[in-house]
Amino acid sequence: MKTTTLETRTPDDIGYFAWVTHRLTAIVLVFLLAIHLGVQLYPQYGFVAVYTSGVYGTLLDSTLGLLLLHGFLGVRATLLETTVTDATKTFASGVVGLVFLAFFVFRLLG
Amino acid sequence: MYLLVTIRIPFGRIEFLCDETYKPCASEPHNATDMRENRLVYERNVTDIGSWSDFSPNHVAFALHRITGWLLLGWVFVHLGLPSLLEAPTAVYAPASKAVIVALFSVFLFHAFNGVRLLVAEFTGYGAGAAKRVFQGTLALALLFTIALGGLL
Repeated sequence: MKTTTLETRTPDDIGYFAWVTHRLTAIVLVFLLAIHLGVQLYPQYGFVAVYTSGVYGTLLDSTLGLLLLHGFLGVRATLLETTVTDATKTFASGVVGLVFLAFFVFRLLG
Repeated sequence: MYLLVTIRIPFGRIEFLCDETYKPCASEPHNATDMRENRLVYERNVTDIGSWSDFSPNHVAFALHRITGWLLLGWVFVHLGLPSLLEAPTAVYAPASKAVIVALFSVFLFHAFNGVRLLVAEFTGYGAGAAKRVFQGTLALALLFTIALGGLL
């Protein structure tokens, strides 16, 4: 009998922590981005209350932080599927991670 | 000839017997990957235009999810990255044109709905057996919400 193994993307390839974090940030971002878009584009539908309550700034900072983390994990997942060497993958994802982190801190302090 | 197929899934593996067209001989596990994917994606006769109506939804959804993800990252760079570097650290570029907002909505909403589809399929297996219909539903939802939210602007 011939045996075939079909390789699919699993946390075994990506790493369990990264895999779970990518999905958790996705779920939270759905709500945070809905609030952001609501306040910016549809304030007349009650979203103005979020803005006047004073928590909007904190929500925006959280949105940017989680979005950059989610984006970094997406870039990393793409990198892992390329055929470059493991050292290159580690180096490139490290550089992207540091740039994203620096950008987040830069905006937060600014 | 029978094939013993092993599929690696997030928390384990599924094994079952199938024939040469990857059609399972025993009852198909509810979260089995679309066995026809290889034939549709890699062994297709590309000059046979009619065959393209039969596509691999998982493969197309995966490609679109990556493309829209990179586009959204590009938007974050235009929205926050460039203004930070060129003006002030907390500066923001907000789109003034309705057309640009609607275009951004279409990219974002596809990424969001497809992400939800992915999460549901991964954690519950729901929809994995009807990938094409669920994928078409994802496209329809993204389109409907784009039109509705664009109309409310």
